[in-house]
Amino acid sequence: MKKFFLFLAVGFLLIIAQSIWRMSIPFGSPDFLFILIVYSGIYRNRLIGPLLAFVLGICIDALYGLQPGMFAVIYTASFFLSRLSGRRFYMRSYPFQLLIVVAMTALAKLLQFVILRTLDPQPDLAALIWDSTWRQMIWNGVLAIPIVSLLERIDLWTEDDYSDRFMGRIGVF
Amino acid sequence: MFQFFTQHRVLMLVLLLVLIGLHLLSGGLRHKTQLNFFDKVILVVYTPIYKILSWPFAKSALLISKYLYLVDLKESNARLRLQNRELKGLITDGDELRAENERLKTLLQLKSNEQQPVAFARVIGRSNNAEFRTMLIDAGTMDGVQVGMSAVAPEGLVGFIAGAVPNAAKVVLITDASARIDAIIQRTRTRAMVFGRGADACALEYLESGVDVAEGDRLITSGLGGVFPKGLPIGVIAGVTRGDYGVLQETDIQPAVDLDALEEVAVLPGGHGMMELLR
Repeated sequence: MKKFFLFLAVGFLLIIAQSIWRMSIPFGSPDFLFILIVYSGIYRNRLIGPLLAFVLGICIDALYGLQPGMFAVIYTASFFLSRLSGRRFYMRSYPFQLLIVVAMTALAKLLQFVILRTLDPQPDLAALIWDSTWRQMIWNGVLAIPIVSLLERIDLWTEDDYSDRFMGRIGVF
Repeated sequence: MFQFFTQHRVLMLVLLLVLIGLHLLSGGLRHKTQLNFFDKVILVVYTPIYKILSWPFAKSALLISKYLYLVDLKESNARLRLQNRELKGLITDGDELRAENERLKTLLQLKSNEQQPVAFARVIGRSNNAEFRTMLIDAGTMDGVQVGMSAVAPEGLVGFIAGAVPNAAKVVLITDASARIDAIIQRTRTRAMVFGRGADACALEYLESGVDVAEGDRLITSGLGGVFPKGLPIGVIAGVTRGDYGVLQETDIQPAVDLDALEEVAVLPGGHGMMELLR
């Protein structure tokens, strides 16, 4: 539970960081929070992952969304998809971290498109979503490696027993 | 059965949370601009933390912009002097017209539509999703900001207040896909409906092909329905598309305000019509 609140606080700081980025840099903006969700799906195969994704999704819905629950659904589903991918691929390599974040960003946007198309159809929705998606895919890909490294450091720093973490990763526990 | 649930507990938890999210989503579509208790708590907590953490960035940006401002100061001064001379002439003409307008309004016993802002606020956050064009401002119910009020900039209409807590408010921008604004084409006085298109644009839709509209025409709020005050600039027609066989024409609108570069807004009262729409 300690980890949950720690990563919740980190997530909250990432929301603020991406807001500051959005206010300062006009050429699209990354979704730092989404990288955290993908990270938690790949590296933290525990029950706190989906809860974290859901609560942070609710936060984004409250701050910037107009349809409560949309980001909660998208982030929770993205966590699960990341978890599935994390079991099948070797996630320690940097190029793969980049690729998985880019692929997950595209999948999350596709999910968003399906939800909006089903519940609240608008004209030009596909073009609108694609316009923001490709920029965010690039930004998320570029920033995936430093953010994942940062999150790994936070994870290691707060781990009571380092061996537990590494044993967990190679599948002993 | 129990063993299945324990073996797939993460999947079960994900399914449960997705179902809760979908339930919220289906409920939220009916009241999509009303804040619930959790939304209010998150907004109240987020705003002061954001203000503290963004302070150094805001100061650095200010320093950089001040430096950049100094780089072309000389040319800029010459340009502004010239512009100043032209504007002085326009002010004199404007004063005359205003005085005449007031006299005529008094004669006709019409109410003045000038409104004093309820509050001035700084933009403290923007959505990074093109599908939702919203932003947060640092004035809330403590400053007199209420749901349904209009947010404006010196250049024109920005959006309307969709939710407010004591220290912050959420503004839905005119470019959001859910925004609908009753407008007038200033040149022809034709009424039209402006729709948000997401990204950074709006459009006039359902406009009959016979309606006189041209590139460069200015659009202002009609004031009808009491949603937005009358006469606020919305934008300029950037392009007109007429279908080969269609009876309608589509127009692209360049908003009067650069919404991505906006730093401060004023909140205007009114919006009783918007309150009715939100109910």
